[in-house]
Amino acid sequence: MSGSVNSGYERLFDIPIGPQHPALKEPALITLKVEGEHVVGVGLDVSYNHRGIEKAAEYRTYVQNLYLIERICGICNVAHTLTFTQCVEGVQLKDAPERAKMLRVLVEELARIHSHLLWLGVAAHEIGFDTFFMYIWLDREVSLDLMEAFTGNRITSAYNIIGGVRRDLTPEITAKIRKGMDRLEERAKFYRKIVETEKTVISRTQSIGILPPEDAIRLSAVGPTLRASGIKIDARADDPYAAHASVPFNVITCDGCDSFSRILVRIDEIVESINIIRYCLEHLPSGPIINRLPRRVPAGEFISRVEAPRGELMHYLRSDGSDKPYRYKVKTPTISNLPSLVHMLSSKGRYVVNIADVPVILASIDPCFSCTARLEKNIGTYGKS
Amino acid sequence: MSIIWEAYRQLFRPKSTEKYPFGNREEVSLPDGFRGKMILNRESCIGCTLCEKDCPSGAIVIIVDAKGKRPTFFLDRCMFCGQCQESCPKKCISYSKEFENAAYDRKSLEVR
Repeated sequence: MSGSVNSGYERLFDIPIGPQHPALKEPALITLKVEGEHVVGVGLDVSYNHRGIEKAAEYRTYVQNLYLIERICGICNVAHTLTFTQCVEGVQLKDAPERAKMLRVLVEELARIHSHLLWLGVAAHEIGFDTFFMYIWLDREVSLDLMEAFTGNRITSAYNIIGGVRRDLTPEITAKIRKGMDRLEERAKFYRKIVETEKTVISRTQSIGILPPEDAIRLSAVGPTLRASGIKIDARADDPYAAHASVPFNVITCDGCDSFSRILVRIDEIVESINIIRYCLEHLPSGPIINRLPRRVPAGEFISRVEAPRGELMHYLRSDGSDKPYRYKVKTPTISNLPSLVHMLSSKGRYVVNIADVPVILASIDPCFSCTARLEKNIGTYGKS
Repeated sequence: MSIIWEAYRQLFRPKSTEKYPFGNREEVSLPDGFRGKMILNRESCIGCTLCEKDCPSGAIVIIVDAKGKRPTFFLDRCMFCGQCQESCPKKCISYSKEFENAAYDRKSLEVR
């Protein structure tokens, strides 16, 4: 029962959304308690897709785990393998070569571009603006083709390996990436113009899903959700990993605190990623791309964090001296954003959430429930406990 | 309003959809580093079984024949990660651009 209802009469209804629902791309149960059109309580259950990846990781060697960890999330697969390889290298107190670090940044940013374009298309689809969705996904093909040409696969790239990277940059691929970046930059600027001027987008997203900066920090939001509330936190800038310490870039923020500013932050991050990729291509150091490491990892523990497209991703590794991890723990960005999502979905005082706004707010945090399903717990102000 | 002009302009541009599988097969372009069906060079294989140990999906089974230990790849279990190519000390595993690997019979999905 929600504590925030001050109505004189009881006319509260439960609306379950999910576990299977056309508005959701993944199984999750969102129980809305509504009073008329207004959402007054939310219950979230995201544990429908528990795959037991952490336990499975304990039965595989580090080399095999690379591909298991890659499949935690299809879209952020580069971020997951990067975090895993950093954990294994960290326990061994070894480092990847400088050229490999720069190439890791390059592929990571390429993955960020296609993740943000995917999200932008999904957001346009949730708004009901399918023309926009089709054009965005057409341009996403540019970044996917570059991924395929460079790493050998569109999504699960298998690019980062323990001790370095798998493939070196050839002059043909460099020329292809430069050409693709020019096209993507032009399109990203065009999309920003459309988002700023198109009435459909503005009326469906502005002042919807408000997350004030103090609540964003209190509820430990991460990634673009946090940066759209005007807070400058980015793991690439605060705790530089790979070659991020030597690559200059701006942390994109927006003061709008609503779903509209989350769109703007992500479009600006695409442009920023394009600039990072251009910098990497120009300042790529020469040298080896892999530093071969032993298969057995000494006993120890390591925490690595990476700014995945959806926010800060954290992996924990504990090794016992064998060739298999003793314990592996993954914290995906979506789990950090769920308390903020519940906050945004609940009407409080003058801030009201209509049922029609729920898909937009839900999409605005870029949820990935399948990566998150590591807990059997109901989150929210209302629902089964 | 600019999206309307964009949609209007698209009418005069070539279609982005590739006509697969009913169009011209040669138009389906795959990059050079693509990981399709693998090719095993049986002559240079030394039977070290490293590929079997590293395969994350158990798609490689070592079979002993007249020449000694040689890997057999089961494509129905393979996820085309490329680790066997990476682990092979003699570099005798390579990937072709053959991606149409659907089959009625499991036997035809074995690469020896």
